[in-house]
Amino acid sequence: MKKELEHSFVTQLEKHQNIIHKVCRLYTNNQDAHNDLFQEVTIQLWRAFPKFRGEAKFSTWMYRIALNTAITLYRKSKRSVKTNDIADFHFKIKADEYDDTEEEQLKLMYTAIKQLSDIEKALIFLYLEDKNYKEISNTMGISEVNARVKMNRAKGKLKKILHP
Amino acid sequence: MEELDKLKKSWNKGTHPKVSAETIYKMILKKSSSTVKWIFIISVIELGIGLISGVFFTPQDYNDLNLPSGLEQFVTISSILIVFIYSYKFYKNYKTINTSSSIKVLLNNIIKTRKTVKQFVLVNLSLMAVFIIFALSYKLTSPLGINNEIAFELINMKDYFILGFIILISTAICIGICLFIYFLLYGILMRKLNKNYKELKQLDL
Repeated sequence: MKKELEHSFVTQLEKHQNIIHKVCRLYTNNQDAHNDLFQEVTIQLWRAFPKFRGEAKFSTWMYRIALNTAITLYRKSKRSVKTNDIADFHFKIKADEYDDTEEEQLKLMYTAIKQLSDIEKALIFLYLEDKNYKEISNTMGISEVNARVKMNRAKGKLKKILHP
Repeated sequence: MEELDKLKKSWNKGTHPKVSAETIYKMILKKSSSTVKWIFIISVIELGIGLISGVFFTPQDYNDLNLPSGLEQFVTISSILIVFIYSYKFYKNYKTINTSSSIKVLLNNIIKTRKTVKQFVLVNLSLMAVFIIFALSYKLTSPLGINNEIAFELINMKDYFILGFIILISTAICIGICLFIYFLLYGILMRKLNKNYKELKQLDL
């Protein structure tokens, strides 16, 4: 029984792991911290998995636990170092039309997002994941109106960081 | 916002080194290092210390102090009752912590659980302070309390009160230092949670 559960969990996680990577990408600054957070999210998902009833999609359930882990449970790794250099991971951003200027703009955007608070980062993450305000309000635990207000503020803050 | 929409277009095209199924199997066997785990460990230690001190600080110790028996019973029963009430409250709150809750609910539940233990420590310290003050006043004012030679030599009332004052101040300093260290540790552990919860809570105002 446990083996079956393990197998089902690992198979689904392997398939949807990109969600965790994207959360780690916003909440950490280097590869070691990224790996640490990835591992912590995996542990938390595995612990919660026996209670996962399949009412929501596995990926939707993952969003919530991954964000909760990054915002509330994750303690920064001792190995993590403060850096704004986001080009040092193996991760590569691919712009639609690959050119250096666009690549540079995307990197600047990432640097700007990293300057937001944990809550604002979660909002931007859900926006990038194309979630509607109902889903955003459910994940955050705030009303739809407040989610819109907070989202506009976060976008405004990003704009200020990018164009001081 | 133009730049954000550009990022949105490229968002799902990022490539990450794939974590293999074998690595995921290894990961789920590892132990968590989450804040909640540390909050749980620290809380259980605090409740444990409360329970141990309640059980081992027996009436025999009170007899050595020659204090009225009513006070002994009050302190013993109160400390044991406090430990049980707070252990139950802690367990009930801890059970509500669920990682699949919304971010705000999860933060609220963790903070509530931790607050139970914080209250427990404060109630225990208050009980300790009341006991010290009561015992001290009793010893200083009751003639039966003067039961050794040194105390007889201190029959001069002025010296007697200076001694009482010094004991009281030392106790206050000791409790103060304990509280300072405790709240410093508590603050470090809870800083991130409190900050994020405050940010979400502010939206409701």
